Amino acid sequence: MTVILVSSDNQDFKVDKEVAERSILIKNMLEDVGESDSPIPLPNVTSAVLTKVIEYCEHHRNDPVQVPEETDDPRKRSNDIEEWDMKFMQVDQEMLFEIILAANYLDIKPLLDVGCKTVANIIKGKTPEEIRKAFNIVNDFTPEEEAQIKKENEWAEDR
Amino acid sequence: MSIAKTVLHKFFGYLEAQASELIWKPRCSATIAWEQTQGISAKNKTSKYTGPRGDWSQGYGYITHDGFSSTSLPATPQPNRALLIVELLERIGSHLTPRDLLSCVQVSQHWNSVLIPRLWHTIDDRLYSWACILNMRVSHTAPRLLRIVMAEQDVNGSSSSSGNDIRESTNTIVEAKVLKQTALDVWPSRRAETVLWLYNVFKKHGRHVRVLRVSWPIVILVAGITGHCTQLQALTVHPFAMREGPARNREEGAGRRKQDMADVTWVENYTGPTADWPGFWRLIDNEDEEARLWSTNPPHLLDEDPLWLNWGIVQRFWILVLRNPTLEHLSLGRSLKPLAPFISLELVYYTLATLPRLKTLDNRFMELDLQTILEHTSTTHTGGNRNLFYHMESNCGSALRLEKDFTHLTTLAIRGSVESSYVLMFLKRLVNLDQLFLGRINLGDKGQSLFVDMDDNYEDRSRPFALSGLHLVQVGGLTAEYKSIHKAMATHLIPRLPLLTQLATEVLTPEMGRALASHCKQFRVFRQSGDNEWINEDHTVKTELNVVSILLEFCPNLTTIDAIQHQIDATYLAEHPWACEAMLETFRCQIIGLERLTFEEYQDMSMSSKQDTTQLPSRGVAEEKYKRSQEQHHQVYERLSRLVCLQTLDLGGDVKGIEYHIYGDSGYEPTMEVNGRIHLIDSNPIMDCLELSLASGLDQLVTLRNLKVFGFEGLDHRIETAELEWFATRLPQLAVMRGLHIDDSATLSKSDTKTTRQRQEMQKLRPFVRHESATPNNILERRLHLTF
Repeated sequence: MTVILVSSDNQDFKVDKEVAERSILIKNMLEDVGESDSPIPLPNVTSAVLTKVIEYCEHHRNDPVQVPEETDDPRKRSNDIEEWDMKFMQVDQEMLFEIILAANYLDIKPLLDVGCKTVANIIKGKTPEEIRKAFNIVNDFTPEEEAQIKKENEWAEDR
Repeated sequence: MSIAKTVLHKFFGYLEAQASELIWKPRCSATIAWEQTQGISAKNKTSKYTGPRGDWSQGYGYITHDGFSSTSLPATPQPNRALLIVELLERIGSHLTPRDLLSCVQVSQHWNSVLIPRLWHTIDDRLYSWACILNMRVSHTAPRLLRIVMAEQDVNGSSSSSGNDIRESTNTIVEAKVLKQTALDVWPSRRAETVLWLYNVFKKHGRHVRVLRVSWPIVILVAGITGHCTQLQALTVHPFAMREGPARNREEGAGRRKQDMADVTWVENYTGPTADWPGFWRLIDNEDEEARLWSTNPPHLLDEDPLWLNWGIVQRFWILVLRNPTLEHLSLGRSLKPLAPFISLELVYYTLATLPRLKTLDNRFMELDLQTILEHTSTTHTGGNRNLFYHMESNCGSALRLEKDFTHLTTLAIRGSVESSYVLMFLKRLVNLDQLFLGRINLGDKGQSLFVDMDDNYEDRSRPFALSGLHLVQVGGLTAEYKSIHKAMATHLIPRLPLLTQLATEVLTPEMGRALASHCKQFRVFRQSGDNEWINEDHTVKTELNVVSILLEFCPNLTTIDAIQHQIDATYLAEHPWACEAMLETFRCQIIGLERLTFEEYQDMSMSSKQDTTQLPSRGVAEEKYKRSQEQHHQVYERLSRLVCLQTLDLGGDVKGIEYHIYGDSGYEPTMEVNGRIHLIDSNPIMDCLELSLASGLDQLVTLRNLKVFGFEGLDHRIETAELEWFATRLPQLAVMRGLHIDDSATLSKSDTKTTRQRQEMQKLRPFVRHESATPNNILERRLHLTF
């Protein structure tokens, strides 16, 4: 059984139901609608992004449904990304964030996690200024505020 | 000309004003609303735009119907809108370490407000710079103060005052306060500064802390006093003695530790109040007053008599626990014990009863009585809650005895030794028990009646129990002493556990295997536990050949055989079909007994094929053997190829002897080349294992599309470049290889061996496949320790 997804720029994507249901949003939609072959509009996702998302879901179509496992220990929360996923995420930053937003909107938790891990890996080892540069963020702290934040959290420094 | 310029300038100014009206206002109102929720006021902001006026080159972007668009022309580079969504930023932060989070909270106001809670989520004062901050500025002075106070007390002869007399101990306090000035004179000014810092940061960020692990009494004091740590999920007290400063050598470190301990073990002539004294709660009433004093004069409390100081730490600790009904994990460290004597434990039981979510109680503090705990928690703990109790004391004895039934406990874990008779008692008294974890089972006195129900009060002595997981860390291996426990488990215990799905023991005996197969229809997971004792200890686990085959043959739901020290003979394997082929996900077990050609035999065969002489008598023998070997390999591979759900296939472990770790090998592995294939001579101990070469039929495993972990550590595997290429292309999910890892326990001289070369080859082919040892790290470390 196939499902038709329509991107924001009105392109149709025909995918297997099993693949589409990797998205909890679509899964719930299909359950609510019941048997129906009317296309599903996804106004928040462009065709370029949807192509990537479908590629991901195709590859992971047989994955077992993940049991949400929140470990609080950051050392255990390793950033090991599966090989295929890592290659899949080798896109420009714009696309990376679009994929994250789409995964968030479509409720595809494993994809969202991979995306967030990828961003975390970009952040790793960078100074505040380097992070700002990497993501076009404006520094809106006064020097005093900056000093205070540093002082209050100095325990997290490596010494 | 200048007029035109002025007009133009004014015109641009007008445009700019209009633009800001149209563009910035909607944004600003949103920003202001956000700032209000964040408590940011106008006075702590300054204008950030420092570019020249009227400079449009950067553009202001556009307002589009769905928010501020960063892609429009001519756009200032804007952070992607994904980074403005709080939930996403939180999620990204959850993958970062404190070190990186520290950078993140300095990026911008928005990032700060979102990521500060993540940074403060877990506070462990042994990690990062905590020790550095606290050690340098706090602890050195505490023993010095104590020495002064104690010296003065000796002079006054007041240290021998009797019992728990409150009046006398108050006298001590008065004297101590007289000494306060003396103490302050030797108190470096930075100490007060640090304590104040600690107080302020906990006051500000304590509410974000979910996991608090303390080894510094001062942190308990501060966290307890400021009353802002109220959302804790886990609270752990580590040994207080762990004060690792920049010690130059071990002696100095040990000396320092001894000194530091002075402030926590000074109870020999204890004359102060105890936790059972009604005045225990005195300071809680004056909390506000105290907090006020702290903010102006932080060392106030610490200037007091060390008796009161120690007692105050214990008191603060329990206040902290009481303030956090959200606690799920509580670890009562032994180091709390010597601070202040507890005569009765009513306070502790009372406090535990206030924690409805408690799951883990690590009880090294003192012998809390299991039945009393259950009595106190039975009303607060509702159905879904699971309680795990860890007792670390070597002999828990009567503290574990249950004389009533309890329905609320579903999981019980005791990390200590338990008498065998208690196992049955737990199963009977805890009627909803689902998982039982036990450290070590003692034989106890009634060795003859192991697991045999002797209780007259029960009508049905063979009544089954609902337990689904039994996890025994250590029973004792197959030594004669413990054989009776293994036997009794098979004959009396397992038959009463029809719902058992998981079992962990050091060893699987044939009796246990058969009992599981016939009584536990849903059995899924067998794990070999206690592998801490694996190597070169007196009781290396001895297993019987083919015993895991019983489970593989008769348990159709089996998903996991994790028993690397158990062995199956290849011929036996070929003759006994498995019932769980479609289910098995993990297979960690040695397959042995395969006919393998020696180097000479290979040579014979190659000679004969080259020279075509039938005269060599050994040729026929070798060829016969080769045929048998091929046949065996084919059968084993054929069996393995049917396990289509398999994710972990581990056929070996590190089995090097102690000599290897002491002397290393001489820097090369002896090899011989025959027919273009390299053969190892005398290097790896498991010689009759599966040969993992394409020639022997490795390609049959192409059906294992889900394989994530492949292990061949310590095997004579004969993997070469062609096989590595096969792994790289045919196992798309492969993430971990065990066998080509860097061997930490090998000597340094062994740096450029075949394994290293192969690892590098594999890293080129599949850079993201991780190489690790099948042997747990703690064992490797211990072996290293033995070596040096």
